[in-house]
Amino acid sequence: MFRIASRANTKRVVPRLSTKLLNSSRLLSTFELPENKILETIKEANTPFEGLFSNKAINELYFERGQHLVDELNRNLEASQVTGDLHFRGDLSHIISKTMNNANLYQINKNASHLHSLEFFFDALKPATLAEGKESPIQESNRESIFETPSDQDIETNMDPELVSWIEHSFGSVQEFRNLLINSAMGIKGDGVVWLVAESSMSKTYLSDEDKGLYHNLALVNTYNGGVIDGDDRSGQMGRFKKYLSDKEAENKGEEKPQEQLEMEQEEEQSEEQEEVTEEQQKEESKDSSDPLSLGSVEDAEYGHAFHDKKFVPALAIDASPRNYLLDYGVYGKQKYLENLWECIDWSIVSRRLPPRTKQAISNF
Amino acid sequence: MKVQTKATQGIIDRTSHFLKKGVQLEQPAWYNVVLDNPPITDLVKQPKNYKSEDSAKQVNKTTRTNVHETYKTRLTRSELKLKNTDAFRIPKIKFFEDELRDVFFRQHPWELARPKTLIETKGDDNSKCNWKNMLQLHKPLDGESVVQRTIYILNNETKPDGSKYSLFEAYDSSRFEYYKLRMREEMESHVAKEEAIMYGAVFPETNLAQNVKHEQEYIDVWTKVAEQQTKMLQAGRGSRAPEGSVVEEESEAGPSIFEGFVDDVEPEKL
Repeated sequence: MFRIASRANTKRVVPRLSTKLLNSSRLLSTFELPENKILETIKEANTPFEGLFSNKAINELYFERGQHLVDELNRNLEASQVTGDLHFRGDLSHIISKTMNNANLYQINKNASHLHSLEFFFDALKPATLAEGKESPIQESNRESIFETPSDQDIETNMDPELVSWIEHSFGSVQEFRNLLINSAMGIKGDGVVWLVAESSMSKTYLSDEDKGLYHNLALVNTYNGGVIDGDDRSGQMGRFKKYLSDKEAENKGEEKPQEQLEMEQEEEQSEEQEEVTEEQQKEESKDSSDPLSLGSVEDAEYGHAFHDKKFVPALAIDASPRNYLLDYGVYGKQKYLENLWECIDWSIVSRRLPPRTKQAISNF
Repeated sequence: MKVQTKATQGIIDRTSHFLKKGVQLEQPAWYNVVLDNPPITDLVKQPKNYKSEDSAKQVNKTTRTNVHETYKTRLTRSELKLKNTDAFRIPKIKFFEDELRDVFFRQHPWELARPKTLIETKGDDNSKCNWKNMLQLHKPLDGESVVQRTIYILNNETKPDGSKYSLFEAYDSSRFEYYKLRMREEMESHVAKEEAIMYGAVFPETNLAQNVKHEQEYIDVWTKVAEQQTKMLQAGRGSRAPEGSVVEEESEAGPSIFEGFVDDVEPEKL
């Protein structure tokens, strides 16, 4: 299951009776742009988001884009509920995980996950306090700036000591963590988000749904194009994609599939519960077929490591998409934007989102 | 090729040796002459360090003034003699950069393993670079960047308190800049690969993976052969003694020091 740690400001779900569907008396979920008090006061006062965004950028990035996403989401939700017999109730994360594996519901999934990461990103930001007489750091970068060596001296944060010690345990030092965070964000060329997550010590197969897990380690994870932090769905997607490719290959070779496999595929499409069972069967099957004497490929090893079945609890999202820096910092300003962003992170919210830390180490299983 | 430092002197030594051992049967005609007048010229050119003082002296010597207003029509023998024979010596070239390069690549030997283009079209690529920053448009990041940046810091930059950088401080400062840029580069390549995979890219097999796959084919064949041979070996062992006997149990547990002994004794007992 998908979980979010953001308890402070979850989406407002407004159940209302649809006028169209009054006869069938079904409840519909619609969404509104989540409230963000800091941004709203900025909008009203017509002031910049000190240290990071101009007023115009805030308006476009949060209010206009957010409203667009909300409108699209509501429109698609309504359309899906009118045409199909699908019911989406509950919060955004529920909708995201429900629509993850259905190509027909792509629009809902896309808008919902974008909206989720937008809120998650802006919730953990607060305007920086500038020293008097200091120039505003919101400036367009020139061409020369791409050659500059990033500086990591004199980093001061107002993190609480517990978070600092956790970061030091997982990344070595706050400085190293900052470098890794900014470098991972710099690496993203298209639309993407870097997440700081708490990683559960045990994989999901050993955890029941109610079990919250023990969190021993912090990690950084990138998502691209409106992806969400959920190792299970991510690995599922990659697995399905790989399976699809191998099936295609088998078809091209003109090999006929055995009857059992065909049946299994049909079952898979039917319902969720059955899907879980078939996945288990497939896992067993793959275990049996794997030869203990053969070496796996490097790719398989990487795949197994990168998408290991761990539960992640996100605590911080850094939006590295070009739209965020193009307005204020120009095409060469990504590094500057990320450095300014670091100064504006509200670490108290990050610590609040993190699950309690488990100090005892449990080996990877 | 190794420089033959004793080519002229050694010819007598070697010829005498050959004659003594019978490699060369007849004495060469020149042998006794060269033995009496051994060559004394060392053909190896000695490196020379040019100093500014030397050349200044040379200039002073050559400028002459005609004090007595008598004109010389030819040079004397001693004047004709070549005096500056040092001019033919190869100068020893020493650069400060070389010392820095030496230190850097000794500390980071694997930096030498990175592929590098050594060809320049005009040989003045360095003039296009501005070492105010370490990253260059015309040059990839490598150990040379650290060297050039160190020299730039030494010559042009001052510490925040206004004092000059020492050599070690300048080198350290540029070294850490280099690490930061390398880290960024490395992360960029990781993220680029992940991003591409997430968008559906499928990468071809690497050379390493191909080799492993190729190796696996031979391992598969070998596994079957080894399995058969093991079976034969076990069958052979099993036939020596009836099931449940002491010998059988011992052979299962592993080779024991009595095994040879038992093998020898067994037929007599039976």
